[in-house]
Amino acid sequence: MNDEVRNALEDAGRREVPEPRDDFATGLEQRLLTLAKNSPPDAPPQPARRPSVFGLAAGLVAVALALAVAVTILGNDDRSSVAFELSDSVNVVVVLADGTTLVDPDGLLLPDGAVVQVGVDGSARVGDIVLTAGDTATIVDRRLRVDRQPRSAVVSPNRPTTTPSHSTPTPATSKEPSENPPAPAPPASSATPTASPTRPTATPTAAPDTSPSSTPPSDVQYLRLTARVVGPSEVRVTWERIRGAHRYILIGTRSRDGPAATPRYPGSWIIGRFAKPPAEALTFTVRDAIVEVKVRVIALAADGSVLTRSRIVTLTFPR
Amino acid sequence: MKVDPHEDLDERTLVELARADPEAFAQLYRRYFARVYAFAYRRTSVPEIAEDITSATFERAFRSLDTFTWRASGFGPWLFRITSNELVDHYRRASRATSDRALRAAEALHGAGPPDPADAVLGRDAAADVLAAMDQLSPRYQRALSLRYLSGLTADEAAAAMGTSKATMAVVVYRATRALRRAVKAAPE
Repeated sequence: MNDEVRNALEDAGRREVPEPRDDFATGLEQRLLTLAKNSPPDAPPQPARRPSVFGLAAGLVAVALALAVAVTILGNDDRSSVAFELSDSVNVVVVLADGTTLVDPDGLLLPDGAVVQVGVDGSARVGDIVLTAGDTATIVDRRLRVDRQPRSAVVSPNRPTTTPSHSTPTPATSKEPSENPPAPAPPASSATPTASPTRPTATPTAAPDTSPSSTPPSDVQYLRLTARVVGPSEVRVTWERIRGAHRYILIGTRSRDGPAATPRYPGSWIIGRFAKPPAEALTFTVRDAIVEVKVRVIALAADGSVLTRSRIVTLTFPR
Repeated sequence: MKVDPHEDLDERTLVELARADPEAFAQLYRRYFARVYAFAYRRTSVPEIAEDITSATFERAFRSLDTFTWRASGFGPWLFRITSNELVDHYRRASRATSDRALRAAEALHGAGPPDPADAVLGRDAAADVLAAMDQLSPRYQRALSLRYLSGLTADEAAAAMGTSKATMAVVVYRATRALRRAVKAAPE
């Protein structure tokens, strides 16, 4: 009778659980701390009476927040929680809700829970809002909160420290903010693979996909994706603009032992949604235990249908 | 060596402090992170979804902390109730977003690649069939079963998380199990 079902449930409850990713655990903790510092818990029904433990320090924090935090509500152009496009990013780190860290991900549509940190000499735009060095922007309940830091308190964001080429903040002069950045060509460092101490590899594993899509065969566009390993746990990615693309979805799969699964959309890990290809290559991190990552970019039309897909690039991390 | 001053605090004090002190909340997070993640993973079998659920749980817990009233059962059941709600919401969204037809279309577009490890697990055991059928149940039944069997809570704690007495919880779990058996039988092979 119900015994079989109950036994199955008990089995499920005893199932071994793999260790959660360390970078997820620490990333989430950092994000919660940032959220806690930027937005205190929701007020109870009678907000006039605050818990006494807030005390003087909390009062000061509230005043500082009132003065320094600009809360801006922008329109939502999508059915999903994605609403804010990051652009013109220089020396910017974005931490997503799942702990994924992206460096200078121009064009990224910031989902709920994303925290944007601007480092020394850095800048970025989120919609019409200009972020400058030291600012922290958080997407909370589909709203953009900007915490403007005093200039004297500007510190470099906690960028991944394992990437030689990215641990040094990008000079502010390396990229002038542009309203319409040209279609990105892979940067020189990306076009010419350089030897890495760990000799990681990137291998295209599939030709451009020509399976059925909404694009007529005569108008097939190839979505060129370049991805390579740039550090023990970091991947640098860039791709080219596609005519008619409304969104780009960067998807991936990860494996701790053996080949990673084929990335599928929908279904696979979504690394980020972008309104346009990053003006320069973006970098994202994977956890230390990962030995292989496969990435692919999906270009979507305005109606959400798949316009075209890039090849799959396989990246291996010697461990 | 850096010592966290919150480490030795009892849970009730920690919860009170956490309303204003992010570091106290971080200590609560560290105490419960692994259990919440395990709960979410046992229900979903997919690490990425378990991560999403875990993130959402702690964010919601932080935002709702002022509504939490201390009870003898402690902070855990309240937190796990949030997790169970997030799980129910996840499956509700998933069922809306992913119809059978959409799945078939995606399969046709992308071809059949190597299965994800989670697929392999799901294909192997009866527990996976039962879990897959769970999202056919009412939210209340889903919550009751997941809290009772998958959360790692005791029967008393699970009842507290449901906001019922232990006796009522037993009845709800019995009915939910019966409904689940019907759902498993009705599921296509």
